[in-house]
Amino acid sequence: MVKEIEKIETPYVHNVKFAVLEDVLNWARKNSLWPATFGLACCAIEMMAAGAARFDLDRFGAGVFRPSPRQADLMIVAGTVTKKMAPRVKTLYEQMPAPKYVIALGACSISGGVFSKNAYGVVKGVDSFLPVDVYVPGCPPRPEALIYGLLELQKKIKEGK
Amino acid sequence: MSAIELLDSYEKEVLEQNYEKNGFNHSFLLRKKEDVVDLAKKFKDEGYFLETITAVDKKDKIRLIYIFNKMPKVHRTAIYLDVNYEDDVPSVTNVFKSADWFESEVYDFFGVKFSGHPNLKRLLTPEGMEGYPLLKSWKAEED
Amino acid sequence: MDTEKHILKDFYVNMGPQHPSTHGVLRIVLKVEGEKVISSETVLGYAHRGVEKMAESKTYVQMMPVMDRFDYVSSMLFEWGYVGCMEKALGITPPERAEYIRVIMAELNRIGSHLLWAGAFLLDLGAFTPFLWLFDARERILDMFEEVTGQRMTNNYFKVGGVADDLTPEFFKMLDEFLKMIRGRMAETETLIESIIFLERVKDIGFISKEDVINYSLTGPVARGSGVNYDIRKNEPYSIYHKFDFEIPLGEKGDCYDRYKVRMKEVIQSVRIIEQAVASIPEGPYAEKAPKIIKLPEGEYYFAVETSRGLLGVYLVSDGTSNPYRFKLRDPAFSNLSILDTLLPGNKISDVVAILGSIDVVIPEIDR
Repeated sequence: MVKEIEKIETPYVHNVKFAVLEDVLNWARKNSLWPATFGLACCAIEMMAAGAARFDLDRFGAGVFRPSPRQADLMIVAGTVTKKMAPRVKTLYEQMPAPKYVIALGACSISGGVFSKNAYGVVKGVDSFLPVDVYVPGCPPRPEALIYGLLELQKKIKEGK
Repeated sequence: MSAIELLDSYEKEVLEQNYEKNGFNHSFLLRKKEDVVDLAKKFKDEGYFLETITAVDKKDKIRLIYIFNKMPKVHRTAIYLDVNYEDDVPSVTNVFKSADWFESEVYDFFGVKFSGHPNLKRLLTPEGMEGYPLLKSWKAEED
Repeated sequence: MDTEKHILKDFYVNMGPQHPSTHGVLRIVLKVEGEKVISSETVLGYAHRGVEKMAESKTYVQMMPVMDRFDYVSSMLFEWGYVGCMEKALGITPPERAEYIRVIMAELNRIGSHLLWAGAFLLDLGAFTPFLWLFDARERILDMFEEVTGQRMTNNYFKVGGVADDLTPEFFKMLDEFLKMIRGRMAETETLIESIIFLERVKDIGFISKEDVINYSLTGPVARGSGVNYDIRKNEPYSIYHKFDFEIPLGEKGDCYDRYKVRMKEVIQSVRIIEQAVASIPEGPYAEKAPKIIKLPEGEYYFAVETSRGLLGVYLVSDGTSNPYRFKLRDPAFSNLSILDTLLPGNKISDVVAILGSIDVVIPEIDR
């Protein structure tokens, strides 16, 4: 007689979860932020180093840098924003689909940095025309600082912005 | 042919020559601006290249500086030229193509125009910039 | 029906200022017919901060950190140009040990710049792995910088009269391991890179002749790739470069492949210089006494160094006060980029990326 294999009983009640829809959407958004490549100056090199092998951004879901702003939902402004470049930054921000977030990386995009006095071509801080969510100070900030800024942004998204 | 013999036929004034102190093997102050194109042709025939063209605002005039250098062994020669504000200087773009952007930059910062230049434009300053920023009389609006 | 009039013959394609393959913010307006480029125009100024005007209201010491931020991938070479100009004016000679330290740090910077260039060049052409391998090698160099100067990039390390701090024994240990590793890593990466796909994309594209080099004032690996033997370290030696034995690699034809090969060989030559410097570095002070407030005597001063992109000239005019009267940088990438508008016509759009990458531009250095 063939021995019958016992059937494993799974109580269905453990496979069904209830949650608020808002929380589920926030969880999905924060774990797959796709940044748009926007390196302007020195901070771009630290952003590239954060995406390379040693400080891996991909383990936080943010490793896929999209060249087109229409496929991205995070804009990392890395570097000095000049007066000639500012209207183009605004256009790129408006091209991104909502919900979208902005990280200001480095001293130059927070307040002008080294160039905040007597430099005629520099916009003193990107928050004069863009809504910034997270500021990461440093000149240039280490890749670990960028990762910390990203985690703070994820916390902010989880709480519902 | 040395630089001094090259410049024999031009009206000039010989300035200080001390490579150890200021980095130029020879420096001359040219008297007539029309001589510039001919001078550049002579330098090119001797194998020099144009290192840079720049300017200094001396508060009552603008002093243009053309720096020529030779490749195998350094022979940096500086040619100075004094012009007034908004003056017209013949362009050396037909002799050295690199003068295209050098002269546009001098126009952008100081307002000196170069006649015969194929495409003189404001190269670096933002659009809508008024005035010429590197003049001593120019001040930014804020701070 | 006559459809000839309705066919669009040629149209404009705008590359940049934000584009995945430009190294910074550069805009190239291309007039194309199908896939072929007819003419192009380079538009600069998107990173123009107005530093030459800012320098006239800052002191000489306050301009030191700003010098780092022009060519941020190899910042100490620009610092050397600025510090050398001031030392020439003041008549200060740094001590022997400081000169050796400067050479070691400068050659490490040159290696780091070429590694980053190779990674970015191949990323533009579509290969992702060399980027990771070469960035890992560069991270070890940045670890060494952090050990000595406290910063990974934009170090602000050179001072008038010497350097800011001495080298530590930990630095020499790390340097030893790095020198053992780098030759093997470069050979491995070159074997990985040079496949038929890469060679088809970069060989016989973007020819620069020797006449072009003189006409457009090209310097650096762009000129050496065309066979012109010009390197400031040999033709106008400064500091102690005459004591070291190294070669200048040259190309033959002047296409993109030759420029790539010249840079890869230069890494090995820099490794040779560092090995010789480490073997003969003397003991002694690392800086000389310099005045607290730096005031250059009246006059004009010019100093040239060889950076990873070519000849850098720093021109300072002083009127005796503690602020410079005029500060001008003759940066190499500015004239190197001016040949782009003559090289592009006749090529396809995908060749534009290869040619622009092989010239190796860093835009804030051009736009100042």
